[in-house]
Amino acid sequence: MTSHQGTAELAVLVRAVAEGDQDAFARFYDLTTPRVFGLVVRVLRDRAQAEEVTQEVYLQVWRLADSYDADRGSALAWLLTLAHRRAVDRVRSAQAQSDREAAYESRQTQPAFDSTSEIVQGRLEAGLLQMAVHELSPVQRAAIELAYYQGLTYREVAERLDVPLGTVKTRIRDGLIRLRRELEGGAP
Amino acid sequence: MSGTHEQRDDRGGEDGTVHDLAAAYALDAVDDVERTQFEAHLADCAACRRTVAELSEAVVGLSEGLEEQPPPGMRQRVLTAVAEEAPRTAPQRTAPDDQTSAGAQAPGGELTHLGQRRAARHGRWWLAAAAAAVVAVGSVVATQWGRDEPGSTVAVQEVLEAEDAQRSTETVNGSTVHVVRSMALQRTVLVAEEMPEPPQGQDYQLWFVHDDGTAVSAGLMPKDGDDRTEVVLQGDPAGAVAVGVTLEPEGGSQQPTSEPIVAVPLEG
Repeated sequence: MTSHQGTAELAVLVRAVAEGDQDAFARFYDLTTPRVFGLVVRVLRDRAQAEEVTQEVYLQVWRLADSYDADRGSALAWLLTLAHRRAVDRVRSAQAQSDREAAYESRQTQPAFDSTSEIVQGRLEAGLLQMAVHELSPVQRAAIELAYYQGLTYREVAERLDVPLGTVKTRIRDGLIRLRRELEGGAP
Repeated sequence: MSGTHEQRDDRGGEDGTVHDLAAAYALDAVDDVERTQFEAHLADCAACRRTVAELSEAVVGLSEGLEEQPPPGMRQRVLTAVAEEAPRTAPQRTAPDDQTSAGAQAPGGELTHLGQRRAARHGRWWLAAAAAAVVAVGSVVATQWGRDEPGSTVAVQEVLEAEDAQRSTETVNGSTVHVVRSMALQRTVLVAEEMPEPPQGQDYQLWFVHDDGTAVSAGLMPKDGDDRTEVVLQGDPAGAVAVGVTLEPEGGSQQPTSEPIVAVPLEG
């Protein structure tokens, strides 16, 4: 999926989609949906909602393909950013809703946001498990997991972990740098 | 990765530079306002563009191993929706130069079931936004209304100087948005100061928000590159409880597709 050949093919497909090529869109869909759906399910923890969001993501792909800029990153990174944003939008509106209902049904706030226990237990996320876990410090991992899988902003992460904003930004940055180096096979 | 950014901030608190947001931005861990501002910064900062591009590939790794097959019916639904939208999104394969403007004309439309569900969700959000904005209105600010701006039109001035003008102001991360409504003129003017340019391919869209949470488009904010932008909202402000601003795909949407950057309450 992240091979150079795959990366190049996705970029070519996005350019074709930008020109209205529906076959290219179908091919792009087939190559990438399990990845998008898996991420969205992970963030939303609800397959029915994840289905809706995934469909919305691919409609965005169709509409926004001409805004993809290869200088800003790979086509897969672009796609996953669209997907993550959509999923997080959904989490945040669900959170706003459930906050209001919390007084009546505290149960509702639990499923999507009960992450602290996982972090306390040191449970590793599947995605992270495959790479660089040994390289990430526990605090880096916690910051990245809360932000990416729970959809928290770095400000919310700082509140949740009770650390200064600058500390969270540093943990995220250093964690991502380590992950990237790991991906590149330990390049300097 | 350029060394400058890696070593820049170990200071805590709020006083980091805008460059420090690169990693949080790449991880999609910023709010809508910060995202807009950082994207404006990205346009001018090659170092941050490089950092974001590099760190984004690390973020891609975070969804590796999570793959799941979606339900089989989804593929056909998506392809059908795209096929229905296709003629308006891409009228001429032979003229890709037209793509941007053509795509911009095609928000929402036939994807009604998706769009309506989205509108319903956002409706709840808007309602909360309007309510929160009403609470937050401590900050009605005296401003130099009616000063002679080259870009001002008579219509803008008329509203700003109307005897029954009602004024509200919200401040978001250094940007100030004033809304002035005249019920007598049935017009509303929005004045934005220090708003960052919208990201490429997007527009700021203005909305009249009603007390049932529905949002009605009031047009787009012109991209004039000025520090101060004045625009007469399209439509009748009667019944609206707030004016909201969202980022939308270029050309605008029929319903908000993102959370509002700011919602300015209107006095009853």
